[in-house]
Amino acid sequence: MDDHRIMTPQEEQVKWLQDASNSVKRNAFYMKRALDEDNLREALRYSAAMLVELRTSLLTPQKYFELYMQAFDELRHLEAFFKEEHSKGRSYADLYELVQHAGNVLPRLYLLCTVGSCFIRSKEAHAKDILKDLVEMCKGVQHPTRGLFLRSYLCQVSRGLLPDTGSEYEGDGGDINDALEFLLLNFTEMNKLWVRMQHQGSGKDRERKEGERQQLADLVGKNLTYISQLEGLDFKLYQEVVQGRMMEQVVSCKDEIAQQYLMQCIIQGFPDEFHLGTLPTLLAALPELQSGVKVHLVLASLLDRLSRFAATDASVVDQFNDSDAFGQLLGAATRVSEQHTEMPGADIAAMYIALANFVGAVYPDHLDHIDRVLQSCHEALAAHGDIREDRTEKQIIALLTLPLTSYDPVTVLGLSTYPRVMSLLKPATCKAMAVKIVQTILKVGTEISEPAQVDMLLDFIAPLVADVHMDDDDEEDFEDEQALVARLIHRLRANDPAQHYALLQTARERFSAGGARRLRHTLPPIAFAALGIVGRLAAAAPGAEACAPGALFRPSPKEVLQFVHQCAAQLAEAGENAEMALQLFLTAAQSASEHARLELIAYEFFEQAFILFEEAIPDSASERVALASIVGALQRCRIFPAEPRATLVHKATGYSAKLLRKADQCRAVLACSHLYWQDNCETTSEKLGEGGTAAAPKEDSGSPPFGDSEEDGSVASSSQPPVQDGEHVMMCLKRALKIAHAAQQQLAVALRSSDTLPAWLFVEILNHYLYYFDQGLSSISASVLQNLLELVANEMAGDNCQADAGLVAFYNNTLAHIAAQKAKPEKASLYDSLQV
Amino acid sequence: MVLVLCIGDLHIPHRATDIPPKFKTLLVPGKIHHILCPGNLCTREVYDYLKTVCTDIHITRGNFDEAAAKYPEDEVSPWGNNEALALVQRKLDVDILISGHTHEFKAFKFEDRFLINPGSATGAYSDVVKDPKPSFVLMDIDGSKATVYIYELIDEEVKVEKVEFSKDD
Repeated sequence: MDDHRIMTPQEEQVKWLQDASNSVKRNAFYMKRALDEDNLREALRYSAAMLVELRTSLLTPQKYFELYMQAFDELRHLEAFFKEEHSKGRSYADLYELVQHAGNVLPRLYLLCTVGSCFIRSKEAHAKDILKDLVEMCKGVQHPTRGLFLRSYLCQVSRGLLPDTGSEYEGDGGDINDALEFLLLNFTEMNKLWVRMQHQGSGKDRERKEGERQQLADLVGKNLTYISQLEGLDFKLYQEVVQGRMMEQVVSCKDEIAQQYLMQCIIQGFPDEFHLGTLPTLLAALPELQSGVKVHLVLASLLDRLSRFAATDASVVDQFNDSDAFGQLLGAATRVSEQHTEMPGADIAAMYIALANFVGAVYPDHLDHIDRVLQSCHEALAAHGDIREDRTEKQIIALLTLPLTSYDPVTVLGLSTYPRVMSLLKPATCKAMAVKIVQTILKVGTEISEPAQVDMLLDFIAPLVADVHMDDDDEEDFEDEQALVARLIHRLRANDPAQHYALLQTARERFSAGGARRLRHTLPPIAFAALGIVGRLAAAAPGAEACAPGALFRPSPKEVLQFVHQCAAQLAEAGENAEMALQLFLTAAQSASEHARLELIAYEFFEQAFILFEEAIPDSASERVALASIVGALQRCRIFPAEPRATLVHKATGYSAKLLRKADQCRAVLACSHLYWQDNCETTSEKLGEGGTAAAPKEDSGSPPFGDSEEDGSVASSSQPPVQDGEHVMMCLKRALKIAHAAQQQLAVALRSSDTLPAWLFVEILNHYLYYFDQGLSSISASVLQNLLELVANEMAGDNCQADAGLVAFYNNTLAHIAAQKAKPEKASLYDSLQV
Repeated sequence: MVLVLCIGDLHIPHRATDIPPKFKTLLVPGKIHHILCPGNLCTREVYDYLKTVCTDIHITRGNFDEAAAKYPEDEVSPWGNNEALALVQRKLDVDILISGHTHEFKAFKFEDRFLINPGSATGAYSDVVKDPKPSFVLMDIDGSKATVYIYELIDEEVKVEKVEFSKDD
């Protein structure tokens, strides 16, 4: 039943294909019946009627293809019949004549191609004559779709029948030249038909037409594939015949789709050696292509092939050099950008990216080639209108990033062309590029070891080092960027401490312009790197700094410590960084004391840390941490003679009373007790294996004439014996007990007697008593400890304490510890009188 | 069997650029069950990185971590002193105590408990040890037994050592 409603284009297509397909089936049926009946005339009549369906103009290429395949299959029956007829004695020449009686040109040519292929196979005719005849006669169909499929059929059925070198049809049947001629002619004709498709009908539905043409591309390309597969095709033939004919057709057809597709076809289809040998001709075509062709993609696939070719064999690179392949390729890119003034900037940049990729793969040690690529790119883009477009800038960033990863980044940045290309970017993009540069250097792990390189690098990343006029700063981005810059500082490195120090000085000078919010990121790494230098300088044997003429003056440890001092002070001044500055002062103090052995400098660092503690630490939690750090650092320092040490220790101990909460005070005093009791264990310098009391470097003749003298502390002094001041330790422990009691009373006043905090403190105090008892502190006798044990036991007996599982565990662990000590034979005499 | 990564004192960006790449290739996501970190990372970026290795992270505050990070803390005095560490261990009532700050790897038994300092994963500058070697520790805990693998970077090569601990009941 017919459906009379209005159909969509898709439904129409389905219906038309259905109708045509039914007709093909019907006629094929009659054709086959006639074949069964041995009735050649009837068979030819029905086959022609079947093939008439291919004359339709209604179907899209896709639907037409389905119909074509159907007819193609049916024609195989006819072909088989022809062979049968032939074996019965009928000549192919006869059949070849007979099929020409078909009334319509399209069916006639399909039948002719079918017989023709059998004719060639029988060798009753010369292949070259039949092929020539067929390829010429097909000109009779000039409708694009029909013509393309007809010629595709011709191509298909003649496959394997060409008089190719080594083929059985060679000789009388012709030679490779005839085979080539046939395929080239068929290709040229098909391409013409394909291009004409674009210009048929109204110009309205251009997009649809282009889509349909894309679907047919492979029919045209098939010819080129067959050409490339010919046995007889050697380089000479390719160079003298094939390439010229193909390129001529590609260029002269002046069609974007065809050019884009065919150039790729040629590049992918033929061997690398052919391309390399004919590079001038191939490249000469590029500027000639239509302006809409994406030449950068064409060039990229050519370069891709060539670099893979180069990777196969080292001698290939020599061939490249002999023919100056790189120069030719670069020249082609330049000509393309000159010729195609309307080519988007992004595509131009993409072309140079392809070149840079090629150079990176083929010439890993030719930075000069990269230089030329960048220069060329700069020239091409500087003259261009839309370089500020996002797309273009993205490509420029990609181009600039590429050599950073394949070559030494610092050397790449040193190319004069690099900053020129970078200057094409907008300021905001420059910053993105700066981030890229830093990330790459961090990833690759390059070391920057010359002050001039530091300056250059910081020029490149200038948008990260100081403010440029931009207000759209995102706080989180800013933090991330600065963290990157901070990490970069550790890549400024040199084996020679003097050189390393020079790098840091240069960096600090530059970073100082960055304002407070950057300094808090950049100064700490500089200071820590400098402290590393102090360690190296101090560890070096005194005679080692007799440096070569022209080498940098080796700075004294004191000088570098002063540099650290300046960094920390600058950080403190920048505001809101008091904690970091304090920690820096403390770390530097330890370095001054334990590495450089400069007493006065170490003292000065502690003093600065104390000033910050008193004036700038923002809250009580930070105060607690800061004090713990002060005590920890001071405890380790062995440089101070009794008097200055007493001053520092007294101050630090005094700070414990400044803390807000009683519990914090109590714990701080316990920690302070260790300030009066240094382990008799190895000192840092012994651990370092150098320096020490005897080997401490004396006044060094190479240091700058600061008028160093004993008074200003630039002469290293030896470390003091460990302090073991039992009296003061006891004072601290007693104070801790007092504070714990006070805390207990305070809680009672607040009606919170059940709080177990005091008990925690008591157990902690007990542990400290045990520590000093074990160390042999004479003022802690067994009876003193016994009293404390009983006090703690009484506290612990309370219900509230028994309910605090953590506390009970702490207490039990402490008792177990005592038991373990008692069990040790060497401790027996000490612990004997202790009753638990 | 539980795998616990102990890693700390990275001091990025103050003292080091990054975790050594050879360590990073070892720290593949999805294998580690917990991370214990004795502080001094010091940036959010590093924290985010550790999160990619394993989401279950326990961190204490180091003296260079920003206060805003709000990690728990416990001070040891004197620094790195075994007795002082043991005191903290008794207080926290733990079988294994992970500590940091010294940048010197340590792992040993102390009165039937274990003290582990994984060192500095970046080999960061230390005021205690000269030229610290980058190191971290991986613990394989199985009931009352712990196998401790120490990863150290020596001359650009990763060296692994094994120490076994078991807790007697």
